[in-house]
Amino acid sequence: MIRLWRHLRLWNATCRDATRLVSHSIDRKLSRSERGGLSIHLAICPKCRRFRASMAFLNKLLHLAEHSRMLGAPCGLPDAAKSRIRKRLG
Amino acid sequence: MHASATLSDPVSPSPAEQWLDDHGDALYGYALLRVRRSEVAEDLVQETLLAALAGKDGFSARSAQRTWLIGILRHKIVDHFRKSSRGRSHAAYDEANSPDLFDDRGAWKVAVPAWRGDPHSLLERAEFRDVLADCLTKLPGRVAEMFWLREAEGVETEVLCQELGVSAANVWTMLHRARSRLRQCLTLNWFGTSAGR
Repeated sequence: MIRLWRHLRLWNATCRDATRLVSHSIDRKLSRSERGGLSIHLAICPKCRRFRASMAFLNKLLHLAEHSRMLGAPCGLPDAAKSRIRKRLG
Repeated sequence: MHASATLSDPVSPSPAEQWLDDHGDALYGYALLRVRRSEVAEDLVQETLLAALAGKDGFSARSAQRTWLIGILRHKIVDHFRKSSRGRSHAAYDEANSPDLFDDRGAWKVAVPAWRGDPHSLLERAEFRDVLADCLTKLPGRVAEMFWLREAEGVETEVLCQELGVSAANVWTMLHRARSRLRQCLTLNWFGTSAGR
């Protein structure tokens, strides 16, 4: 009964449900009813389609940023730490 | 006697000290963005340089020095996350901290503009990198750790569950929140502004 209810509910997925499913699809295989519910929702919802596209964009951005090792906090190593480390290395 | 004088010669620093001068700030910034706490980041820089010194034969000129050092630092950061999450509780991140993007009926209540541009050329722009780093910094610590391991290091969800002792459902929820928040932050500060259009 609960499964049936879940199943029916997914056919009427909200944007909140759909965004959760888009994200989960990156980390796990969705069930058949989840996939069905998501694709129906995406077919009628341009906002959630843009959400999905931005998730793919984000993924690419982070991979590239990590690959190029260019992303760091814009702070320098404090002088006190620098001299402490220097002592330890010497 | 002559030899010892050469060894303690202050004008020829050890390679590790040279690395500290050349790359210390970059290593620290890299670590700080990921571990958040300055004292932890400082320790990680030190551990990295010590490890680099011990294994400097492994360094070949084919990779640039900084890339090599950051490679070592990444391992240190992952180790740190694994150690620090043992014995810690993993209460799911509090939803109340994140602004709700949906109304009572679960429909979007904020604009969802398309993200335009090419990831490659965006990352070449310092202003964009600052926005991205800033948005990553705003993620709550636990969520950020998990997100970084998953997205940047490509750690599989099952491994995350095992290593961090969190249930799969919890991992999926935390990753979803991290992505949502990051997307919203980048939308507000870049893609939805004139800079991103």
